[in-house]
Amino acid sequence: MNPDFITGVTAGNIDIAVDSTHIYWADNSGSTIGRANINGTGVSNKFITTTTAPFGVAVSG
Amino acid sequence: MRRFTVSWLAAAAVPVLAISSVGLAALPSQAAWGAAPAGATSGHVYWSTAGACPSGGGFVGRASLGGTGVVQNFIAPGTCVAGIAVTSKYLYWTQANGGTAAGIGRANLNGTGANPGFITVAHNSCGVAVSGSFIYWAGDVGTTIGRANLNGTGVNQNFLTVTSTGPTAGVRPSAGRT
Repeated sequence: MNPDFITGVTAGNIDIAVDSTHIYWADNSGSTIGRANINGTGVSNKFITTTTAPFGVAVSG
Repeated sequence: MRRFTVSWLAAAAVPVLAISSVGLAALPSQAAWGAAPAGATSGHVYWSTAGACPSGGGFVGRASLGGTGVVQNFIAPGTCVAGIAVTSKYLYWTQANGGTAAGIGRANLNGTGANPGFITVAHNSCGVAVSGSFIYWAGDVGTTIGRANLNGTGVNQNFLTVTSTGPTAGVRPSAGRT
């Protein structure tokens, strides 16, 4: 187990989704959807800015 | 025998429990709360917001996998939109309701055909997962996981009773892209 697989992520993440290339997370405190490469690199905390705090996240395709 | 490992996903404004369904071998590897099945073709990220629960404002947003084409109000099903899950055809979401009976909504992936009352659930629904032929949900009131057929029939409000020190809130299959 690696509890620090992805670091530099802002606090307040309450959901996560994965596709074949990326990990996505919903940051309830920052009103953003974050994203990183599936290998844990390329962390983008503000991949998508939402107008209100996100609760869940899902990915298709 | 079904065993569950329950852990906090994160401490946030709305605390969420993640239930790692160890032993749920009957669940095939497909979609989950926050994941899509192999072969899904819509190519989008979806997110839910609870809004000013319970007074209003909850919606489902959507963007392309590249982060462009952001639509904040892709679906506006009502208040307290919580969990979200997708299949190759449909988008599902839960609507919490302050502890009383609530619903699971469904819409086509293009946002049409939204039905906030697709399934009526007995408890405040929170997490939702889809896998194979079934949809599963967990509530933040009580310690049960419900199940229904993906077409909304065969509702079983107490499909599983979970051993937990607190209410269930999130659920996802053990296999699949979660």
